[in-house]
Amino acid sequence: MMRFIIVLVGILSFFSSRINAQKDAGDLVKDLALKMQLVEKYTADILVKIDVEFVNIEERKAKVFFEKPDKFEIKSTGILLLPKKGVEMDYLKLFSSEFTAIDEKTEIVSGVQARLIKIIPMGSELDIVLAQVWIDEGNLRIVRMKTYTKSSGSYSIDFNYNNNPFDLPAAIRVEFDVKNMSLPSTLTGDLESLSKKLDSKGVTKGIVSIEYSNYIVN
Amino acid sequence: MEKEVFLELENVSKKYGTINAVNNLSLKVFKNDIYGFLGPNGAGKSTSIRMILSLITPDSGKIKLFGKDLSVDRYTTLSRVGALVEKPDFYPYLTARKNLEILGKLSNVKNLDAKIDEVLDLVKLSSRQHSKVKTFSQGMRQRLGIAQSVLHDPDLIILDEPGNGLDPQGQKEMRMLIQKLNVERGITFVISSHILAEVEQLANRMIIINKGKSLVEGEVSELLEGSGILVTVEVSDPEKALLVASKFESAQDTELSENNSLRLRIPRERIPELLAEFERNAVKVYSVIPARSLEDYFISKIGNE
Amino acid sequence: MNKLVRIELYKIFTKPRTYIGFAAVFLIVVSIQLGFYFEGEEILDFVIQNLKDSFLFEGKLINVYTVSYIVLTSLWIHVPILIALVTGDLIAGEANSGTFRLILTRPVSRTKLLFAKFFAGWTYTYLVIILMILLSVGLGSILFGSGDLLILKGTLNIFEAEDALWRFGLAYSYGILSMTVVASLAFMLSAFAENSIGPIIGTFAIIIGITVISTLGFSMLRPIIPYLFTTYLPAWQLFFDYELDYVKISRAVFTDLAYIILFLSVTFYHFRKKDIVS
Repeated sequence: MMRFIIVLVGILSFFSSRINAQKDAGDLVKDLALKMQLVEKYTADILVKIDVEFVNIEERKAKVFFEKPDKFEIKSTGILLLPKKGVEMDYLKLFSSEFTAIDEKTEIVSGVQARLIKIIPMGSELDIVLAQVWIDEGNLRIVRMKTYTKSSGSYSIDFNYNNNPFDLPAAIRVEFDVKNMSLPSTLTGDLESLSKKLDSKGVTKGIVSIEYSNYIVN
Repeated sequence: MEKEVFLELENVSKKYGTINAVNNLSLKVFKNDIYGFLGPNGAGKSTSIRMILSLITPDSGKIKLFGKDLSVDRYTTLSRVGALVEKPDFYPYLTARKNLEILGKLSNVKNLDAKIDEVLDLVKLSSRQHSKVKTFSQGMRQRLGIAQSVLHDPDLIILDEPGNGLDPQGQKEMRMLIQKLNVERGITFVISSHILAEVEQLANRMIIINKGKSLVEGEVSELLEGSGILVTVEVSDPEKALLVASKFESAQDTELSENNSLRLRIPRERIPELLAEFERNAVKVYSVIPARSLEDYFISKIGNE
Repeated sequence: MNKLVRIELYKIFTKPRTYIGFAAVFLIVVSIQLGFYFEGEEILDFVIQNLKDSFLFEGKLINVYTVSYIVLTSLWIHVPILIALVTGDLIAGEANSGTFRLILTRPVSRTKLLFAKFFAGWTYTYLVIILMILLSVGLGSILFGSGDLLILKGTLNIFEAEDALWRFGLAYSYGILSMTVVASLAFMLSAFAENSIGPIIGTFAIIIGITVISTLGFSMLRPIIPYLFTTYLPAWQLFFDYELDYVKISRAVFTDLAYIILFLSVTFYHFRKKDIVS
């Protein structure tokens, strides 16, 4: 019996020591979500750089508008294309839904000590099936995030901060999977590519970098 | 004094494949001539005229206009020539006046507007000058063709079958117009035709060609003199008439024809004597119809060769 | 010379068939524009549907430049016919109507006449393109407004409006050059024909024939494809490559120029000595 108690206490103390040393992963994510929810709405100027194999476009300027909970708008004079996931911050939905958080490890990411937490959503209504979030615990902000989705592969976002209000990012870099498009050349009259075989390499990586400036928050 | 030669062909030949369209043709047209250019269809008249007008390049031989070699002095010589080759074709979608305007500009006509008025008046087309040529009858086109050929006051006018497509009245008017221009303005004419009668009434000199070759050239009156014309004589008694005619020394090729008629060849000036001879022999003559055709004349010419 | 050019221009622009060309360009351009005006979103959605799965498109996709580009792609097959309709008639038309007998018996140099005719035909050619530009860009601006040019050309190229403008300028200029090749081909055939149907159909048949054969890519023809003028008819598209390929562009331009010189030389050589028998 004694031995059982000792083992039990040992186990409990082991766990409690962990708990004492670090905040619970789920709580940390919830804290983060709470902080994010302080942002009612914002506008910002963005500078977008798109690096996708089959897309050629110069750097573009645009304006973004955000309003809680998930209203998101981009105003651009020219044509702009952005990866749907990531830019629309659908991870906010993840944070505000029910999930299980599992502590993985601590890592240095972009020169910042960060906790890697795995988040698994409980419901099935979200497109995200798994997210890995690297959190700068001291500043309570996300350094990196990698998300696996049902429909469009995975994407990862690196965040950079620059003392913006509510710790809104100064720049993000979205790396995502793109299914190689077979662009319908018949419709564009592009005879040159009609004759050459369209290579279907399957999935390639696309990178979109966005710099934010001139935040106006709430 | 030798008359000035306006047009001269020296041994001009043109072959289409193996066909000799024009074969060693030589001719001379003098100033003030109305020169008949005769031959059956396909004789090479058109090819010759086209060569004279530089539409077709001869294979060999020399063409001189106003004493100058056509291949050397094309511009100066052609600017003194007016022509209507074959059908009078114009830009159908333009008015008569516009057509003349374009052609006048090409020929560098001075005072073009007044000149156009003048030639339209000459061919009696003033009232239709603003109608599109596609609405014109063949006769009107032919007249417009004459108008364009005189537009630039040429010294020589070459008309290819000018009577084509005209009714007898129109043909007569055409002949009068040519004579008028020849007399009043001193314009020299070359007129091609396959109808001897047409040329006979107009021309002072003529050439007859067949299969691209010249058969005869000279004064019309001299050429037709003594050659005999083919006549059909309707008589009361053909058998008897045949006997009479056979004995008549100037009549040739005498033969019986249908409808109590007799056909024979006789010089024009001997016809009254023959008729008198018939009368003496109690053969009544109801009609004398000349049937001279170019073809007959050729046959007689070729026969003479 | 000037006089001859004026006369030839006058003839072209009083001929009803000339306006068939202008009317056809007008109809084609305006119907494409109206199509895009009313159904543009659906048409474009269909084209970029799988891109829309991954990407969020912002900005006006249907604008004067995008529609003008589509007009260009759909017109490159029509314009040669319209060009040939007039340029194929320049010489053969006169032969057919018998009017050579009227004008060539006057003190007119055949060489100068040909120059005047070709110049007049070329004027028509570039006026057709100008009309296309005016309608595409002018009417297009009113209907759709400005915006960035979005092109699917193997890759998805997006050009800013200012960038698009000079690309269109170059593409249209190149279009005039390649249509000049078509015009000189029709002109050459015209010199050999006695009526204008032959050169018009002939020009079209040659273009379609060679294009079909080279598109099917018969392996024995492959080595000569870079030397065929038809290969460069759609070369105006090169100006919408993201990075301009100057080697390809100059090859297209020089090939076009070589063909123009070739066709015109044959025309002049033949016609100067041609017997007018019509």
